[in-house]
Amino acid sequence: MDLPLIRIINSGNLSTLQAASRFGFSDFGIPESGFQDKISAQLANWLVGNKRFNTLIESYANYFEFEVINDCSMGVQGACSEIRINGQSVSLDQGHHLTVNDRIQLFNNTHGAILYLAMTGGFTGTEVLGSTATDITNGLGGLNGLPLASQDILKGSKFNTPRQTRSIPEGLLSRRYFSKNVTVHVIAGPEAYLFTKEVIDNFYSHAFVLSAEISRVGYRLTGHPIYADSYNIPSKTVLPGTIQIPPSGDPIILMADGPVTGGYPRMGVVAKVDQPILAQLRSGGRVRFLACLPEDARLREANQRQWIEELYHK
Amino acid sequence: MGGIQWRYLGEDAIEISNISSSIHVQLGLRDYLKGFPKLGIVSFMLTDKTLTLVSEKYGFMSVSHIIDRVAAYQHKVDENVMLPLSIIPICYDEAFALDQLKLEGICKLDYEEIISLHLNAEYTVAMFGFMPGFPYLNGLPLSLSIPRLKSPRKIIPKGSVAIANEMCGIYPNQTPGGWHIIGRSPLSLFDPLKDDVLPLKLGQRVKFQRISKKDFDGFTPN
Repeated sequence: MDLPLIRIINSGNLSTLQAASRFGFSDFGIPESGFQDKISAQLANWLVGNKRFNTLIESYANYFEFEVINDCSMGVQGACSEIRINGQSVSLDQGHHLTVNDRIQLFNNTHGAILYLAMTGGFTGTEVLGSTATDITNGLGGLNGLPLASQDILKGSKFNTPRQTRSIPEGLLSRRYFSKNVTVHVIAGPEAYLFTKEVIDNFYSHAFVLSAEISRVGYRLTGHPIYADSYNIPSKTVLPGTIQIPPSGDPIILMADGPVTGGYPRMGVVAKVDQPILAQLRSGGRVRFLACLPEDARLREANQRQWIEELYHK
Repeated sequence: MGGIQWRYLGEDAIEISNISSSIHVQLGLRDYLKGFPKLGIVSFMLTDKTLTLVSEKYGFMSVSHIIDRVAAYQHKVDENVMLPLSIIPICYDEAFALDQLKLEGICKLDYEEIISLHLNAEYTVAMFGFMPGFPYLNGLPLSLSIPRLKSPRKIIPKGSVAIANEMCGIYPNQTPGGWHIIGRSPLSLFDPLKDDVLPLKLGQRVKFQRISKKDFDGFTPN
């Protein structure tokens, strides 16, 4: 049995339930979905004693407000600059016990875009093909496949008895990688050969601006158009992080809910380890690309995984 | 690594290109590789003569092992059990054939000629992509092979049957999209809550069967 945990008063922009990805159905045409910033999401879950991939709220809100229906414990990470419980500011980087009728306000004026809100035991979501992650494009998972809205009531496990509250060690705060100017590593893509050396040099030496067209499907960059020699290619596999170059010249980086195939030249793929940094960039922010080898990207990702696993196993 | 062509797609995936254009050979190779769990491959994706393999967690420690296996694969004819022919009802009524005029103009044919070309062809499910359950069907007659719309349509109704670039496809749900719409099918092609999520299978042969607007409106999926 699940208990109602919270009622959303202000859902802000593009808020969804997210969890472990719906991996392994790409050959059915089904996107992966799941956390866009895995680091912040896993830190939020850790704060309340959850498993790494428990279902939580992911939100692009600058302001998020909810009231508590049943006692629970909350962990917030990612793009949040202030937490108020019944009007009182509280620490950003530790878990908090909440009691019935508490009113919680989350503000964001950081350089990050996405906040994560976890509750002990996780929220309840519709499981579709093994995952509760919401894919709003295709109406799968989460709360009836929809983005969260004001007045939504979210349920959770009745075994959400507060455990010890945790504090995130100073060096691991997710805010540390938020910036107006980010650099992400890119592994050359299968169609890099469709670009002249000059165009590729340009791609790696200029900053792009993140446009206002951002969603969980893709981020469109602008400010420095890139052109391929040919666009006449069949649709091929694309993964989250794939940088596609459409004829308009403005690159599109596919995100967690991106399609599984695409027909634009694939210039490169953002290294997994840097995907949280990119996901957290706000519209108007700038991104530079740095070429890297798959081996280096893998090594850096392994290090990232390792410190999260160590945190969880302490 | 012999004559096998491959490239990275990010740090955890490789793409083997220029494998056979036969979907049955592609599926045979995929199933053969599935027989070697130690290769650590967790996802197999087929697109146009290309097999994309996603590796397990820490990446491809063994690209060369995988390539060796690919090189060793020998397709045995008739290894796959032939799936039954799937018949897909389609209504070409002008209420559904949203690009009728464009198609007539580009193909320089009248609509009944276009319909009969489309109906007479036998198709094969070559891949799923673009959106859940969207089948890419090989076998479109060359005289119907036309480029995508210059600018995509904002809303394509669920069930729309569309053509572009030597392919035919069916939109399982409402979506924006860039193919020319030739008609509409009342069949449900994607239901994540059913045991059989996708009624069509990779490699399956497909034929369209014309139905009237009246039959379309009265259609009940079984």
